[in-house]
Amino acid sequence: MEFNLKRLIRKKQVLDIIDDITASIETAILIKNVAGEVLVGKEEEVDGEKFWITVNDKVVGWVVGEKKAETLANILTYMANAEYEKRILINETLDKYREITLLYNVSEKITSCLDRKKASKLAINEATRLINATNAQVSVINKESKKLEKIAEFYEEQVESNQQISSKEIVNQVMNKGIGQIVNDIEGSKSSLICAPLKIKDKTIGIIKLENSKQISYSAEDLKLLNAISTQAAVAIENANLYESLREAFFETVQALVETVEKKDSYTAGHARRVAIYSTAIGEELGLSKAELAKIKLAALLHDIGKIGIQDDILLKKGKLTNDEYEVIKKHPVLGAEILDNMTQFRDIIPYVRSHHERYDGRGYPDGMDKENIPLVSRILSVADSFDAMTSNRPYRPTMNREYAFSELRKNSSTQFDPVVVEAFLKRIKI
Amino acid sequence: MSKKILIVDDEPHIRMLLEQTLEDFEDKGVELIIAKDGKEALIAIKKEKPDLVYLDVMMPEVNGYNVCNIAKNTLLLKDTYIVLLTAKGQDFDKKKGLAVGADLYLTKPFDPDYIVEKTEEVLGIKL
Repeated sequence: MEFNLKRLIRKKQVLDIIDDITASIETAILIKNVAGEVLVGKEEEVDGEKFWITVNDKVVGWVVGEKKAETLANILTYMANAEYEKRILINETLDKYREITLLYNVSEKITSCLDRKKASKLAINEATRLINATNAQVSVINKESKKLEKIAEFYEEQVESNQQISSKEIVNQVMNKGIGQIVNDIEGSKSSLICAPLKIKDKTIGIIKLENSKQISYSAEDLKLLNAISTQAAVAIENANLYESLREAFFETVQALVETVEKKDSYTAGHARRVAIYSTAIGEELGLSKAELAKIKLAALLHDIGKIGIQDDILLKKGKLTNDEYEVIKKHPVLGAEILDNMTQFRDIIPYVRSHHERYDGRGYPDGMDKENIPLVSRILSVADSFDAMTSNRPYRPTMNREYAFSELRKNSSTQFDPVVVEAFLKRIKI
Repeated sequence: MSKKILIVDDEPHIRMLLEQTLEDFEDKGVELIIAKDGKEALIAIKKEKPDLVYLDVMMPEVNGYNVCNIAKNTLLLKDTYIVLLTAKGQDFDKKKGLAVGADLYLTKPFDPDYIVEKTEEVLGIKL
């Protein structure tokens, strides 16, 4: 670090001290920096010896004047050295501040990401922004194959194949030892590599690797930085994995519930899945958002879940139902809503399931809602459900053909069904 | 007239860090004024009418909110750009900061590069 005498002498307290001393030694002085710039005094008025002001034994300027001016040079040397040491400390602290800010920004970006590919890509972006590299890669152990699998990469220049082999060995070492490595002289090539493990507690789940096709010297500082980034990336990837398995568990639960209903009534096998396909098709046609389509799909899969609570002799009865029996069947939307109330993730779709047997003209059940009072998703489910019921096998009647089902939907549009939904369905399905 | 920056913090090391971060502006003729507490800050603000103030929030007696409030709403120094500095994790009331008219708030440890950028922008001086 260069010491700037001008900056020291510019300070008011320092100027005051200089004034006091020159007054007490009763002689004119001149202070110059190494560049020859006059900082204090007038060149034409002063002549005499030069007394050096030094920092770490290096001349940074001098005091010109009579012998008495040497005292001032000594004092300034002392002040300059103290200032220099203070500046080094401050600079170190400022560097730490920069590092903290950087890591904070990186971790904020990476850890808020629930997609492991995106998190890996972000880690690579941050790493290559801070560390000079021509290519970079994040690889994670595949849980089934137990092998490293590349999930994100970046490259400006493809690395040579002989280099890839030696880089593989280094990666293996990093995986086994769980400690980052720097190799600045990869055998048989003029390139450098730096690699850090992705660690969760003591388990290494993968690596992040940076390479440079030219031989540059990666430093311990670079590795420290990469380690910090890899720690964040590992947490994000682990989070994404957990989130993914949670999602899987959720869909498996839904699937199990759907099958429970369908196993009970073999005639309805595949019904929920088909209703889900029809409903989401209608939703797309109506321009609904991805999030809404996901809710539609879930509601469609589970719309008949309440049938679990209907006694078998009524649910599975061949032939016509008595009025009383029909009243029992009509309970299934409410029973379904009650079942779904047990799981937080289902809360949103409860009204849709409850109202899927409402009619547009208000003569449906359980609440007798009409028109737009019925949730849109329920109006969609109603059309999809009826269409599938008409076109698949049922114990109480033979299968109808699709054309007939279409004409039935059209005939009951505005009475049983929302005409807009019917229109959207016909447009989508008939093409 | 030369531009002025006021640095206000009761902790000496933060004052030094800000001073050193901003010293390149001194070479461009910007005057750095230092205050060790809220009272000194108010005296400096009245007298010097700085263009930019880096103002610590947590100070004994007259705190950063008070200083900012007086500068913006009593002295009506609308052109003085005030940056409130608060320690990370410290409870900072964003609403309160806005209510007293602060232009920006930053957390400590601050990013020196960002401070330089912001200063360049506010003063219209490129380093």
